[in-house]
Amino acid sequence: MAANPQYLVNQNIEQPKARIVPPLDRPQAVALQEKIHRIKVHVRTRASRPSKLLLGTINHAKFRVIKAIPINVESRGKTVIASWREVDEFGTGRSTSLACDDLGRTIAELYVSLKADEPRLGPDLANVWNVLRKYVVMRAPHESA
Amino acid sequence: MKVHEFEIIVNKLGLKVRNSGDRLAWFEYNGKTVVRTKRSHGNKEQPVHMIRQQLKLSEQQLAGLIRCNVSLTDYVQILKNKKIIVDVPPPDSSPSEPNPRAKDFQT
Repeated sequence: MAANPQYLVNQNIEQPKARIVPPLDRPQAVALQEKIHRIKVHVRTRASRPSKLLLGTINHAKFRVIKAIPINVESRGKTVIASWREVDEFGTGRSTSLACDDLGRTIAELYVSLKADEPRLGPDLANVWNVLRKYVVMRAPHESA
Repeated sequence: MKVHEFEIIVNKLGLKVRNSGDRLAWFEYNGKTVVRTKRSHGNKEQPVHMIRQQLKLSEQQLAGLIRCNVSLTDYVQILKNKKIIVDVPPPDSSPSEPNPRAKDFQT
């Protein structure tokens, strides 16, 4: 059989391989040396999104997480929501990691604003501030440089 | 929750806002920051249950707030009932009653 040269692959290698590779626009079929009697197929189910996570870092250079933040993850339509129930804070995104990134940014902003308003916080936000300080601290200037 | 519904709440409660990565909004009463919430920029649907929790409201109360059934005064009362707003009496208004144990220390 005179094969088209562009279909020939690895003819110099000794291992038995398919001799002819069809072009991409044709059905992908190969000539095998042996007859196949049995094919084993493993179907892997798609891993489901975890509903709970521990966030060990937030994507802000000025902050350090000193205690892992417990996160609840849920989906609403195409949006993933990562929430920290203890302080009623949340982040959203198209994936879990984007939602956690958003939550991290929110936590950083919350820290800054609560710290600035500390003397003027109502009882609920004062409680949020106390919780927040147990989990997140501001880096010293030499740490974030 | 739609963006315009969020903005209805902002206007009705007179929330202070600041645009950052998100649109941040917070409620102040008697000079104290009492609750805060946020929405993301753009026109995407906002997670209503999270905003509701941040505003310390039930589903009915939030719906009322959007549909004009719940006023600013009602909202303040809701927060007072939940002890989110605590009225601190001015120092002069409290009657100066004599401490009944005071004499114990004097004797």
